[in-house]
Amino acid sequence: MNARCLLLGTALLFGCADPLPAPAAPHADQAPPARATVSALRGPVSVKRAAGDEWRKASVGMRLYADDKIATGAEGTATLTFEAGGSLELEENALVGLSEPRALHQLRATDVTVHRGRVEATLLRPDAQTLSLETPAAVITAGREVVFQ
Amino acid sequence: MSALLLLLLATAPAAPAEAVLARGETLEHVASRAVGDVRAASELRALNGLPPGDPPVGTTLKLPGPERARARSALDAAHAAVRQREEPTRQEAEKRLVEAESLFTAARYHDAAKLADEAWAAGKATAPSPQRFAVAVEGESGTTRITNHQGPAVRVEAQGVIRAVREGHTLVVERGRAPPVAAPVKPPKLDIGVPAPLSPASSEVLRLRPLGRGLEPVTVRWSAVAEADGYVVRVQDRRGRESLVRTTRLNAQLPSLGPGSYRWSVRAVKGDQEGEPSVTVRFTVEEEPLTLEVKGSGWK
Repeated sequence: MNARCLLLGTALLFGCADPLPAPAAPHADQAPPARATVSALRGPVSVKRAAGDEWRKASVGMRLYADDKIATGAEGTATLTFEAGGSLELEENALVGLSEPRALHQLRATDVTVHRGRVEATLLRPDAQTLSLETPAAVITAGREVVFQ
Repeated sequence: MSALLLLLLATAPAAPAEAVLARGETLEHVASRAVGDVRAASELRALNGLPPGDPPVGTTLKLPGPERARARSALDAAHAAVRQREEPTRQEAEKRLVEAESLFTAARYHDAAKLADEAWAAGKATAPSPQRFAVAVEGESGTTRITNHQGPAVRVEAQGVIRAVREGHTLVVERGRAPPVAAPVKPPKLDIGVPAPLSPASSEVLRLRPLGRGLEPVTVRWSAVAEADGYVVRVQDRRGRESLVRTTRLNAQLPSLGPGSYRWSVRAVKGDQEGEPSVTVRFTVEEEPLTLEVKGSGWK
């Protein structure tokens, strides 16, 4: 995350949020697959599209695409439901980004980067879904195709 | 697998090859020679309706057709699938497989394959329990805590080292370090009381005077818990950075806090176990503006 992003995100989360409604996905021309939907939220929650630098207020039903980011502020929470199955609940002061699933996990897999904060992940069908969370310290994988060496 | 296999079994043309028991041979010899599996001796006996004991030399034996290989394949696939199942589904499927093996030994290949398919499908129809796990990344350090609340093991990889975090276990990975072995989550002690935070109160604004390089210290206070022999105070700033203070008293002086918003909670401790945390209280620290009083000195 670059410094500009950090500044914008911080400003939005702490009271300077742009009140404009969330824009349509900038990917409409290419129609890439959505990776997740914001299924619930409470308090300050912002989204930054992959193609933009602006953090905008999130809303329920908003679809998220690869390389989009979502952040919660103080006392903010958000729940993402993944197209490939499973969900992720962001607690307050969390920042996560959605990634393109790696080639190995193209099928029913979701890759997420957790930059900060605490998240709770749920896979209702761990035999058929894969969720991979990358943090600055480790890569955590759960569900199908989990192999221990 | 099952539908296609059963269809093939049902429509497979009978190809009853035969073998003749030579002098000095037993059923095991014929099974090994003609079927390619010494364990097929009992199948030969069942298939040919032979009484116990060695059949006479020159006995013509009907050999199993291709349905045997298909049934064996169905059984092997079912065994492999059932081994991956969780209890109690696995136990139930294994019972069916034992019965299926018994039918196979009795040369009832069609029935054995059907039962193997049922065992294979039975566990599959039962959805596994959901997976729930938490990942927490601490502010600047990136240190990551992984806790597996429920479900199959979670895989954690860092610096080329892979660790499994099984249900009810947790581990902490520091940036640039290999993950340690996961440890069981320490269950909180349930039969101890919960202290009540007294001050700072919720939403209280503390105006603190500068002291040295920071501000004067903040002291938090809480109510006593009868059985406790200590307390742990947890303070967190709005970026998620937290400090823990342990004490045996009913108050604690916090590490130097700068201006900003904070949350604190406290939990009672008994021995090496901790009780449930108190409610979380938010408070704000502000720096009290300096008042300069300049008195006349009479200097000229």
